[in-house]
Amino acid sequence: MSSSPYPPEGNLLDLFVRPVHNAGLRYVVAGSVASMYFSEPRLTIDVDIPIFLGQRDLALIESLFGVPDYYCPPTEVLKVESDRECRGHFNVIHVATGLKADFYPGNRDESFAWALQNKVVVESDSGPICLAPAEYVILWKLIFYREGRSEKHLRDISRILAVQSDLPHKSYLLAQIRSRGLQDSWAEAQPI
Amino acid sequence: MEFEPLHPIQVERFRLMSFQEKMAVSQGLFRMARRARYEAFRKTRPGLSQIEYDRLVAKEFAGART
Repeated sequence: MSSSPYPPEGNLLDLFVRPVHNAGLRYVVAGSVASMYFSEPRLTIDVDIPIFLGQRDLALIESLFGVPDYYCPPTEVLKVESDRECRGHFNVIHVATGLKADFYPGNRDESFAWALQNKVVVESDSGPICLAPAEYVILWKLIFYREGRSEKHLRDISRILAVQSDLPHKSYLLAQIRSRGLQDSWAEAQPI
Repeated sequence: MEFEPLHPIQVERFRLMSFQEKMAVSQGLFRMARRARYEAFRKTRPGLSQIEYDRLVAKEFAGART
């Protein structure tokens, strides 16, 4: 038995992404974790997972993230969120560590469909996982920045642009920025 | 908005690092932050059980902004 005064930490990929991947669900990892892949390592305690959820998948999510290890909203909430025309959202929390996954059902979201088509499969310590392309990560960080003004989003974007010498789908990103009126935030995020 | 720019050495290093290496650094930061909170709670609220400290730290991280 360990005498460490600190219980095991767990990690975001093993706790949240691996179960979703192994279950065969259509998802991508976005947000800060994907941002790390495209730029620099940093502290984060949550993982963003845009996901396609059919009716049969709702019970699967509940079974993957069951009590007592996890807090997961009831099926009715998952259904309401996955039925939204856009911007569905629910949290799953790992109780012992407080680590959190933000799930974004994107059943009718064209940008999510694009991200799935252009996902980047990378190796993690516990096997392959699917990451959103950098352009999708940047796009949603611009949207979240416009809504919440959290500077972390601009910083993440700035870091991605500094480390990535080229964005393979930049024309898609620029078109999305224009159509969503995100030019001001995009200008703010440019690295010095 | 201006952020401290990355040094060219950092840019080069981050381009070379694997995803596993980056996640390991991030996990190390999480470990350090978590242990710091355990120690802070032990200092400010001595005498609690391990389970109570576990709950305090987990609750704090679940509500933390990153």
